[in-house]
Amino acid sequence: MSLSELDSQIREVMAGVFDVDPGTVGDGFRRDDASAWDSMNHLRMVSALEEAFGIRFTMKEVGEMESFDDVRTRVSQHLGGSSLSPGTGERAG
Amino acid sequence: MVTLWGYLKYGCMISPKAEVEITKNLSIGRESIISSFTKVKSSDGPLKIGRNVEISNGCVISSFTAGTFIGNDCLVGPNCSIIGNNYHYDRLDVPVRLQGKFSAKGIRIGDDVWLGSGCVILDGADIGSGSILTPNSVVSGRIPERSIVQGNPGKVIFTRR
Repeated sequence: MSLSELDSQIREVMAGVFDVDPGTVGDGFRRDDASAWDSMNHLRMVSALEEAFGIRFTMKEVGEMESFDDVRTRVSQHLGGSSLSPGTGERAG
Repeated sequence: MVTLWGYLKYGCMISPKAEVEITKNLSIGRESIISSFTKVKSSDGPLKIGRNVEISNGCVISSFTAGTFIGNDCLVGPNCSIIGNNYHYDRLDVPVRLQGKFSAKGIRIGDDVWLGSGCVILDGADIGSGSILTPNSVVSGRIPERSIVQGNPGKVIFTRR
């Protein structure tokens, strides 16, 4: 999976949970930018991400995801950063 | 009177403004608290409330033949309803109220369960230990342990870990 594909998939998940235009979700998108980003929807987002990517976050990570950038960092860590290629659309290695 | 009875028999705190039916079906664990304007109806079936359970104001807790069982260390928010009986409704020519009550599976709530304000727990609910129900959730089935539940019907949105 490329980084852009990863971004796109995360954007889709977050936009769906917070009911916002996917175009508004991206670098710099934070909790304060979505009125629906409350504690319940935060957990729904985490569950949706886990399902979409087949990963499982720790409670510490769940509490640390406060922005799109945080989410991307955590997801890519779980997917193994080295397996993400920058924009080729192919899995590296 | 009920306050004194609860304290002496079970070491629990029952508000003088709570309404608790004292029957042989009722059991309340030590250190549990039943707050004002809560009704506890135990005349129709076993009703067991565990230790260190805090039941807030305005709740209704009832049992029927299959029983209502609440584990230890639970928190029950204001205005929750835990209703152990159900009604038959298979005939249209007889009012539902006359078709009779029943209790298929009763209600089981595990240990360390937190029911948010306004939750409704119905016959058949089996809520696993460590679960949290967000306000106004409605549950009448099985909820796995450590779940966080939201909605009507209540759905698991997250699993505590």
